[in-house]
Amino acid sequence: MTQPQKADEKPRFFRDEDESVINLNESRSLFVQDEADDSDDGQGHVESSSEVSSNTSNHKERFFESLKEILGENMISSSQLHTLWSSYGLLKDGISIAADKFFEDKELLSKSKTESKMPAGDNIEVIDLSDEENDDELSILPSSSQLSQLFTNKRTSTQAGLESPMSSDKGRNRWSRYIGSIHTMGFATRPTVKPVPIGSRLGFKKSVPKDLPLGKSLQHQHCSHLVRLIDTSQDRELGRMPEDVARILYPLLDYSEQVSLEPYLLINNGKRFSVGDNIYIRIDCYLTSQAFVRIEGGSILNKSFINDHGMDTRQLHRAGAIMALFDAINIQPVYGDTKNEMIPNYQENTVSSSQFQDEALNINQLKSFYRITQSAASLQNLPETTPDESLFKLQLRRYQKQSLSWMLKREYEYSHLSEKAAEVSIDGNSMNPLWKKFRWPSNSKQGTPNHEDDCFFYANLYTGEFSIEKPVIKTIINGGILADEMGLGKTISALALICTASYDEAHEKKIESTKKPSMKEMSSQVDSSPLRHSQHKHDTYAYRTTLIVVPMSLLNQWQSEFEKANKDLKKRCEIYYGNNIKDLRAYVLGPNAPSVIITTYGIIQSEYGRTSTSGLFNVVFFRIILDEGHTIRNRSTRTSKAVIALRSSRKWILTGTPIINRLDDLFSLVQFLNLEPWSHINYWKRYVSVPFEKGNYAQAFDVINAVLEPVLLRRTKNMKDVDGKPLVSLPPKEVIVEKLQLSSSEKRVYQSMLEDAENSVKEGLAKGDLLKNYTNILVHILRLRQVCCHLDLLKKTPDLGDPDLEDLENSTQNISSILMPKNIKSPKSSISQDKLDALSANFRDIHSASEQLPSFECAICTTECIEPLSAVSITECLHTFCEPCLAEYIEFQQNKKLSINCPYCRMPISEANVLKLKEPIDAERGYELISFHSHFQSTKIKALLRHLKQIQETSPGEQIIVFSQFSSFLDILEIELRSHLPRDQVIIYKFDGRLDMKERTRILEQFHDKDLSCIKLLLLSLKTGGVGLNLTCASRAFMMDPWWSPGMEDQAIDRIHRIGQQQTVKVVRFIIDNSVEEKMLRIQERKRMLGDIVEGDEAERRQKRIEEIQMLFQ
Amino acid sequence: MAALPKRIIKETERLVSDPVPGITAEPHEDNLRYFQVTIEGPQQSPYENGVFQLELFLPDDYPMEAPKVRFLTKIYHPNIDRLGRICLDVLKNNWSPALQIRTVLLSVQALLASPNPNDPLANDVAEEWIKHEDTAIAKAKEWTKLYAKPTQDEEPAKE
Repeated sequence: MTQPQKADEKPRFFRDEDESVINLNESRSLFVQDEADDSDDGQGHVESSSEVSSNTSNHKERFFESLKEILGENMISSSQLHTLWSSYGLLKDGISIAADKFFEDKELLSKSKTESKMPAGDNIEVIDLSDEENDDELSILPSSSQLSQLFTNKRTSTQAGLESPMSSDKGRNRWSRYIGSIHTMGFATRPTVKPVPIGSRLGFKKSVPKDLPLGKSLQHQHCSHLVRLIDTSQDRELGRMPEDVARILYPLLDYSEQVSLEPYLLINNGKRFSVGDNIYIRIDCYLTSQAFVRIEGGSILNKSFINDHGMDTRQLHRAGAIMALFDAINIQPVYGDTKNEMIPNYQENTVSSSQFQDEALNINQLKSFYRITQSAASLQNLPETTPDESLFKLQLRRYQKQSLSWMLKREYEYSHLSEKAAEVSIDGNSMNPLWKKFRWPSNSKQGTPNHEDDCFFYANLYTGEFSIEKPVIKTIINGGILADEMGLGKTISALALICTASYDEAHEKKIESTKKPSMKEMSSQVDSSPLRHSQHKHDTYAYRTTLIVVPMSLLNQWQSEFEKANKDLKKRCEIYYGNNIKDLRAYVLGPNAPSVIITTYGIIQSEYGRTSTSGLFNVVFFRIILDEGHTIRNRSTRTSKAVIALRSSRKWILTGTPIINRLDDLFSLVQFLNLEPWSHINYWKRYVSVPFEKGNYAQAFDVINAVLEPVLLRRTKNMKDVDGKPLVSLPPKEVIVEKLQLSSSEKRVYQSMLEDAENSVKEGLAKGDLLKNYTNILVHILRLRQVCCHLDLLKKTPDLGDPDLEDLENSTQNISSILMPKNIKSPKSSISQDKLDALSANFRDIHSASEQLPSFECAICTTECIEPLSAVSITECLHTFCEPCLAEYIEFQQNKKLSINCPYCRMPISEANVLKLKEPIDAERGYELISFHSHFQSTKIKALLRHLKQIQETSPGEQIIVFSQFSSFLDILEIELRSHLPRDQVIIYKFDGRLDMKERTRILEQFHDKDLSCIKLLLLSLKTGGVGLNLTCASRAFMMDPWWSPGMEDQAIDRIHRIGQQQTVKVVRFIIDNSVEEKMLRIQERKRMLGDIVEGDEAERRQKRIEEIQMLFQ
Repeated sequence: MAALPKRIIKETERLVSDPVPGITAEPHEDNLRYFQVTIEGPQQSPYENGVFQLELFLPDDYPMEAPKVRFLTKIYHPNIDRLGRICLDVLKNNWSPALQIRTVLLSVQALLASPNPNDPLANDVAEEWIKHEDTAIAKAKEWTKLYAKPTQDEEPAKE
């Protein structure tokens, strides 16, 4: 146990180790005299041993204490102490030998310390010195290796001129506090006349070489010759410091006012120093009040020391030195916050396979990011605010009321908050992540009172700044990120905010107050625009208008949601799209300013950079809300730049997925919110991107957490509310993968195209230029996918909506060879167009064109009127059959290897030459015949029809969504479904990127209206309709084709599986068995495992794709 | 058993509602694919005044596959063997799904009117038909009188 009377003298040496001392009490009970001899050696610090007792434990304790005092408590572990004790405790001069030994091994020790960042006591290995047990050498000379090193240092020390003596003038500082000591062994460069007394206060002197400008990196320079140890009493150089210590000291000497270094001599062996002798010193390090002065003025975060190059080099230099010093004195940050424990060890979590170790987040990291952000604003603590019933029509869910409180608080709209809500602070208590908390080491010498609240200080090891107060991040921005998971009603929350606080009340008051006096002043004058007279800087402030930026497809949805929610008739919502408002500036600044203006990212982007005096950029809005805010995640895009350039006094981002792929996705959001200082790219890079790239995930997440905690609110569907109920209980979701077999003719096409594709992959792999042919292969794959959907897709030029082909535009020529089929080898019609025309004419003759609705018989099923007309198949001999009947017949004959003749007239026919009717373009011309395979019904369409017919029978009135990524496939679907389904029972809508705004609205409205008598079918392009839309009126969906990334499909399914859905959601995904689609499913699985990497940079994205391609052709 | 295709139902209905002169076809109560058929011998043929019993069965693949038709009544005919099997192209290679029960039975009736000994099934009958047509026809008439009488239960019912 510590001895109280000694605690005054050397208090900092008593902390750990107590236990071990007791444990080892029994060992080594003899050799008391030796210890007594030690004391005769003249070492002041062990004088107490003269009170010799037979108590060995005392003896040993003393040995430990002395050693600890020499070496510093933090520097030596108990195990080391015991090793040293067992080796030298019994020797004469044991302590000095032990110290010597310790220093000799220090390098090794410090190495192990930095490698495994564990508390000092545990990681320092026990030094086995048993073979030196009988070493009688008493002199404290460096080992030969050390000597040679010293001489090297000596040689390199050039004739640098000495500069101002290092002052440790404490008088100027108001106070200074001990933070730790460095124990080191320098070497004498000048002999002394007599022994320097132990405990002498020494000093440092810095010499600046002329060829080294101040502040320049010392990376490749030696420092040992630049730091001189001097005897302050005589102002005379004593010696030098070893290189590692000198490197730490050198830069610090420039900041002596903030960090004071006080070296003391520890051992002199009672001799004078000769050149080359070891000088054991302890450098006590103090932080002075000067170090803390900088931040007392205000928030350090707002200091503009970030220039284009990040911190200036001098600052960097100093910060590095302080960091090194802290490392050397082994002062460890105290983690009071539990937050750090929540960050798992990312190093272990990272996927080991090298190809996925890139900037993209893997799924685990993404999960932990969300875990962090979720914990930020605990649901338990957030009070609820119910919006005023006179303003807001809808009922909010509890968590939405919480988000309303939170949002109002973030806007400092306390007057709208419930009383209870106003009390709770949401600013959080989170410390700036760059700062670390440290405990002041106890040091009685300074006599500073050790109050509980006074025993910590804070340091920013990145900038080298210090603070006494906890550097809590205070967010000064108005706004934030509402990142609730998809389907939790972010829109509603935002609308509640708008309805509750629709204009800048403070500003209006200000105007009122300026207006009144101005009215008085110019009482005679009629002043039509009082705004003019308010402060000049405000004359562009549209303080009554909230701008909502949304993807185009959501434009009308937002408007209708607003109409649904808003009860205050004075509030209006206008869409700003397609030049409908001529002078926006005048409008929103005028007396009839609308409460809400909704516009699209596209509009903003197109107005950006345009010189205009009346557009979006000429106004400061009251509030901006970005819906689907991840749209701006790529900061290099024009849209992002444009959005960030918008001005408003409050800014909000709504997004369910703040991170799509990379941590850097957040940067644009931060930049938009103007979250100083993180919105500076250099700052962001330095503290987030770079640590993350280096694998220092904990740090990067730490920073992000602290940046976002105050401004981000995220809840997930799985979270429980205050009562422990799940936030949202959605009906179950069934996703069924239905595997389909291609028909024989489709299979033939597929096979032939597969062969082509395989050949070119093989070729590419063999030649090693798979990358070069990358685009070709993509086209091959695209083609294969299209065959799985519909053969007709082969004939169309590739869908521009397909991202696979986005990068193909440059190499169009290359592709066209593949695009243009050669590939549709089978079932190639042998009927020429001329012949077709002739047949058509004959056909029209037979079935008189005058007949309005010709009916066609099928001889096979004996139907007299084949319905619908698309089901009519016609042989070359112009006999009509139902398509399925004829197909069945042909297949039957083929299987039995029988000749295929027209069932009617026995004329030989062939499958390829079967004809179809094409509905007349104009009634006068009558029907035209086209060859069958241009009217090919695909396996998937057949399957879809089967399902639809079933639904039609079991539950008419159902609303159904059909997703595809190929809008040309949607076209085909539209035609085929129309002709196969009775028109009075099935209504088909198509929604894709080619529609303009009005049509989109109209279609969605019509689709939304329930009609029990008929099925409503919405053909939805995955890309256009995959995000944002609310289609909960439908409970069934069909995914016609798989997408590369599973997230996209999930998003699409979430259109119907979201709040408001009452029924079980049934989704059928059609996948062609044994095809490229099945392999895509596997790739999707893999992506789900690893997290999606879509964006990446071009090269890496391609590399990934090549792997996928290989997977596809395995 | 698979559900009865629409076509079979339609054909059956039509056979009943709009019968072919001289031919009857009634589905069996238990198996609607099995028909009991009677064909009257065509006039001016050796089979005149005879009423021949046949059975007709529609296989699963009907109408892709031809119906199976067999004479139950003994008949002396070069294209019909002792077991009643019929050699008729439309029942074999020349079947087309556009044909129906009705057309098949008409073809059978036509076969009775014009036997084709050059494509025989009953070789002995065909030989006789070629060598001594008169005796063959006489024999056919005799067999018709002997075997193809209107059935006892049917005829009285009609009268």
